[in-house]
Amino acid sequence: MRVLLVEDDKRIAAFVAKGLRENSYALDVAFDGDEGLYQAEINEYDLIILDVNLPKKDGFKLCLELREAGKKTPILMLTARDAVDDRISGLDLGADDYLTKPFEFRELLARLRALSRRHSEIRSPRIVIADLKIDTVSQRVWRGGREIELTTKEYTLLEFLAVSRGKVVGRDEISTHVWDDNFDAFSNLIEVYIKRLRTKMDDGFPIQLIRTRRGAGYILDDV
Amino acid sequence: MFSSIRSKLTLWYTFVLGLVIITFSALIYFSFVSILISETDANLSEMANNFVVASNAEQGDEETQTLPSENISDALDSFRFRDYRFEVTTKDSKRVAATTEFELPTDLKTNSQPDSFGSYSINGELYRVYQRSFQVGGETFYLFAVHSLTDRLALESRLRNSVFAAVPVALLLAGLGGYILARRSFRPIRDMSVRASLITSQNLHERLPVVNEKDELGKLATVFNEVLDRLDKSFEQQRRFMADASHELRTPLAIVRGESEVALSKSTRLATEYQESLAIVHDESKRLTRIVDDLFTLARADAGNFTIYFSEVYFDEIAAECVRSVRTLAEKKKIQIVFSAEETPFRGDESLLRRLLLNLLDNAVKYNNHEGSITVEIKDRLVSIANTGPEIPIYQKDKIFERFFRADAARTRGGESSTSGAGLGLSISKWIAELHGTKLELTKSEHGKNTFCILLPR
Repeated sequence: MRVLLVEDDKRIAAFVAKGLRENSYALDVAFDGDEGLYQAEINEYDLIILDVNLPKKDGFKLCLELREAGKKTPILMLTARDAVDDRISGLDLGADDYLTKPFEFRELLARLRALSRRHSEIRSPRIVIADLKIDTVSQRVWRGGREIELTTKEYTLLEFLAVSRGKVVGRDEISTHVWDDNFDAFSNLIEVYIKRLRTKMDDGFPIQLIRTRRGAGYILDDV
Repeated sequence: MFSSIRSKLTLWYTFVLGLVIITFSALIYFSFVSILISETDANLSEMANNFVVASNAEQGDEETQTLPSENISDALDSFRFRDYRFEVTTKDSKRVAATTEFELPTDLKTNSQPDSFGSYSINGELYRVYQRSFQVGGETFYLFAVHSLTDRLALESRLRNSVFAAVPVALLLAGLGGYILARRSFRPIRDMSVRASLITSQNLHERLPVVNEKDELGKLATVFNEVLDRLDKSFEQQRRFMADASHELRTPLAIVRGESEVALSKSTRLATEYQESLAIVHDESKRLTRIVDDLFTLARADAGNFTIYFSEVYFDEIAAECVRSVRTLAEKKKIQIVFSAEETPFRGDESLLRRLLLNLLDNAVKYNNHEGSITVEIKDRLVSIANTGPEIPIYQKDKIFERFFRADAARTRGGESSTSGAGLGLSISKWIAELHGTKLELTKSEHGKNTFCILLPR
């Protein structure tokens, strides 16, 4: 999951970034409205978290501009303003959810999960493909009833492949949704992670779930 | 029920009207009685005179030697009137002749005072008696003319009765009329009070209807509406202040809560990570304390119960101390502070003045550029603090003194949130300056130079 966080308070940005990265999100941070708009235009995000009080361009305006530009990315507004009118105008300008500061971090995570589910075909928090089970809440993975230990990055990659089940996903797509801005397009990081995932969850099983489509990318499916 | 103005007014009105009616009735009654008496008396004396004339005529007619007493008797026989009776006595109270069927009291006859009127009760009836002396044939006689007052008393009692009956009826009618009138004129007030009682802090924007703004009630409603306007405004201000305050408190709270929650979400971390998180939480709780302190100061300033201790101080000394205490902060940003001051005695509250200067200096450091400079000068009682920070746009020159105001440029520096307050510093400083009879102003703002000035009164 690739997330854009637009927040001017550096300390809030810092802990949100830290917490989200630890929960296998790839995260970019913008500190003002203009930067946020620029980032959202050049990158394909799965989720955008917007603060309302932003320098240069406030969150409401940014949200409206993103929607007007045709972006369908789920947007969660994060703000210290809690007037009902604010919440209403936020939602009416195209935001999908609203969370007031101070907030419980677990709630932010839950809302992000709910938002991403709402925008994908998979509505259940549990993804089941053949004998592979993924619990997106606790971020644990089982294959054939046995739990598989994964690092956060491995998990993010697996979840992305599982969510795009039956679809070939290219390197670009993977790097966009699984890695953040710092991804080096010339590295073979994706191949390395795919190999690790295969070793952990496909080796020794009769069905190979992750397959390579030469020149196109990867696909995760049970057929 | 007598507590309402309406009833009180009616009671007073009835009372005063009653007094007037009673006085008036009594006046009429007594003048009527006195007219009746003087009429009776006039009749009596006229009758008596006529009788005396008749007696003397009788004496003159008879050239004979009949006794005057016989002549008087004759005259009396021919002199008969209903209701008027006469008795004539000699000088020594011996009856000569009488048309009275009763004896006049002897004490009246013996203590006779000529030419006088008097009322006497004889045989249970009241009589008016006129007595005079007269001479017939050289002899002196006393004449008592008597008139029964029974008719007059009956007339008087009829008048009395009608007055006694009429006064309460008149008062009752007047009272009723007064009550209705009072109720009619007080109805708008009652309506107003009903409307006013429905206005609470939730619907302060509602107003009383003004029917006619020129009459007293219209003026009252207008005044009341003006009070509501002011109340509404101050409530609105308070509401905005509360909203702003909660907004300012939310950010540090969010950091404290989020930072600690994220730190605790993993069972083990490096000690340095915990240290970083704790340092942030500590910083933010300090910031919270500052905001709460500032809010408390302003709340007390608003309520007007801030205790101020005025004393003779040297403003330059306080300024020197404040400059010393911000030097460390300034050095971190490599900011130079140039300080020059002449001796400036001043009467003021030392701790508040220190707070004012520290706020200004703090801002001068906070909003200054890296390696900028600050110039503090006290000359001819003019205190100026200049910094080399970015220009404050003209439309924000007054706004910066408003509560919770922070320029965009300031907010982008949110990273150093431990030093940034809630945007209350300047409004507190402005309040302190006003408390000392002066004004804090931003006199100059251009690129690379912002100057705040205070002119100290002598």
